[in-house]
Amino acid sequence: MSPAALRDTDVIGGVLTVGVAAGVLIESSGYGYGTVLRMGPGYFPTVLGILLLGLGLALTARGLQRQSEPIALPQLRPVVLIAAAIILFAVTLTTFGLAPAIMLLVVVSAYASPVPRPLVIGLLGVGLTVFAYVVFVRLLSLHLDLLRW
Amino acid sequence: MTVEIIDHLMLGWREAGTWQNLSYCFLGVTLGNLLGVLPGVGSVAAVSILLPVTYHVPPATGLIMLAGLYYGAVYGAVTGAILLNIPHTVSAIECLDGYPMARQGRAGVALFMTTMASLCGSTVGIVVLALFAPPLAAVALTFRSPEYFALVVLGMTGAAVLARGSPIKSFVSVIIGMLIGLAGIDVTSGVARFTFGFTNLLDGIGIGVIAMGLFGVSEIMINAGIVMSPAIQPSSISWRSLLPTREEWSLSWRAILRGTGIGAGLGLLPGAGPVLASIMGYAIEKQVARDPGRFGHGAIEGVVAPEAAANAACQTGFVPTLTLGIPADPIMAVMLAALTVKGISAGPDFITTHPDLFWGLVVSFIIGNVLLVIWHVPFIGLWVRLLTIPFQLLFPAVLVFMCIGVYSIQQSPMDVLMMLIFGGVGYVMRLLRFAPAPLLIGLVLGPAMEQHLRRSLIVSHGDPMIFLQRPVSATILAAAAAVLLWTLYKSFGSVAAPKPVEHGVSQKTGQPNE
Repeated sequence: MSPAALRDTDVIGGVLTVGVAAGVLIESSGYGYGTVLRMGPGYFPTVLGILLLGLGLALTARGLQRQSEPIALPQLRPVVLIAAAIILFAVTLTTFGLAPAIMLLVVVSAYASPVPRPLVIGLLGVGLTVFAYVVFVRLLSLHLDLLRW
Repeated sequence: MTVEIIDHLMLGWREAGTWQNLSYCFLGVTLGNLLGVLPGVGSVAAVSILLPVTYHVPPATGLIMLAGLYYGAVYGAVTGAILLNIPHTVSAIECLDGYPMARQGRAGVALFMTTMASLCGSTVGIVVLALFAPPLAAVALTFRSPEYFALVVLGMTGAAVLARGSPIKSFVSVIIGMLIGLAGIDVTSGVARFTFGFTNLLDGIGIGVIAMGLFGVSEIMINAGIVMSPAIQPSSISWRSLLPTREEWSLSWRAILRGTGIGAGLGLLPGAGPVLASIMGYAIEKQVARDPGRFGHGAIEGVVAPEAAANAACQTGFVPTLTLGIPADPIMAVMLAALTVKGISAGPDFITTHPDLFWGLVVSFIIGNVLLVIWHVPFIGLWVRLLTIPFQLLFPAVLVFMCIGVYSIQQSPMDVLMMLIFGGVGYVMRLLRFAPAPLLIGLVLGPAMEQHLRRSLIVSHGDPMIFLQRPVSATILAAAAAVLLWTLYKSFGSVAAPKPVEHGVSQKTGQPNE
């Protein structure tokens, strides 16, 4: 296999699809297939898994035969920072309250931009906290504390 | 007949004309327009952000708002396409000629004529919706499980085939969506499927969580690292610059009518949404043009026809969505989910059991479109100025709304993490050129497909021929097969088929949403 094939979007996508299909087939084998007349919970997922397997193999074969497009390298900085910001939000929201959760989300995610401006980001965080508090907690009566410890 | 329509519209006005509903209609179209104009926020994510709000208001109000957001975003998206070359979901094709027009200093004309095109497309679309939905619903009342199974197959085939990019990959998206839709407790057997021991997955995964992750989070992950700067000075869009020349006008009006016709027709088909309509609208203009060489260099027909088609399809798309329960595109899928939460299911008896809701929606479309024209003609400068907001300030704000929105659905921080997981899935899909839109359609239709397959086979005592023995289901399945064969023919037969040119931002942001 040529190194170009390893970076081809069809080949990678096809292999991943085959992997997902295998997972689906293994998982649904435990549900019980039933019969055509009385389809068990595993029947339909198994059919879908087989279709997925076929599509994954076709995709891989097509990619190996005629390369489509090499995968673009993911930009790590925005992906990691945005994921971290969302995780921090989810963890702090119920333990420390709305204000710290939003400030963390805004500050961490804003650094995903190649040109972050700290002062503007801080102001944006404060503004969004006030806005979210008024709209979600006051108007839509969502049960959240602004700050707790 | 005419008297009946007036009665219906009066009924609709009583529903849509209340202060609450008028203000939510206003809110919906304005926010939709705003989010459509701004780069980096897909309209699917926009609809999902407001999904939690619908839990707090009556069904009609929520539906009017979400629908307003939907067609408002279609109106708004074209502004970004013309001025910034931003390929939004529905407006990607308008970048091809709209952006060159802007660079030639004709941005004002392009914006004005697309507004006229949108108005024409929407108006005809609304008329078709009001005329066709009730008779179609009456026909659909005779449909049983085999017919629904066939319709679901057609809808999914359409969603997969018509999405941009490789059809094989789109089918993979549809099937993965269906499998995700099956997660949770199986209603027939009580067995928990694909929950992997997590109790919070027993009720399945909410469509809002998935949509915001797939479309919102992944879009931001891709765009956050890019510095976007507008190529246009807001001051250059003056009142005078909006007016088309006589030649531009005479080129446009026929294109607008053709686009409207194509869009209104395509919107009626299950699985064909505004995105396909705009692409077809463009393709046909290029076919009928005397000088196709102008296309790609600022041909006004290439801007107005897709816009008229998209808006017409946007309105007529409500016909299959509401009367058959088969969403035409991912946004419709989210709207159906919003109705389901309220205990209302779309289907053939929707119009007869909820006439106030249906006709209220129709009347709200009329009001919303008038509002949008007002927003776009006298206030166009405002939206143009919005495009100068730096994206680096925009995306943290959008993230805040998505995170709180997702949390508020079930008051669960786990849902926020789930959204992030689907953001990752969406990011990988975009890197590998899988269209995420079919996944959302599969998600809604998957469980329906299993149900109808099960019931049909019980009725026929396990004989799969039931789908071919019933004339209606056989016809629909034949249509699905035809669509499939046509795609195979196209992808293997003529390799030289013209691919939509992607340039500018689209290359950096990867594939447009659909």
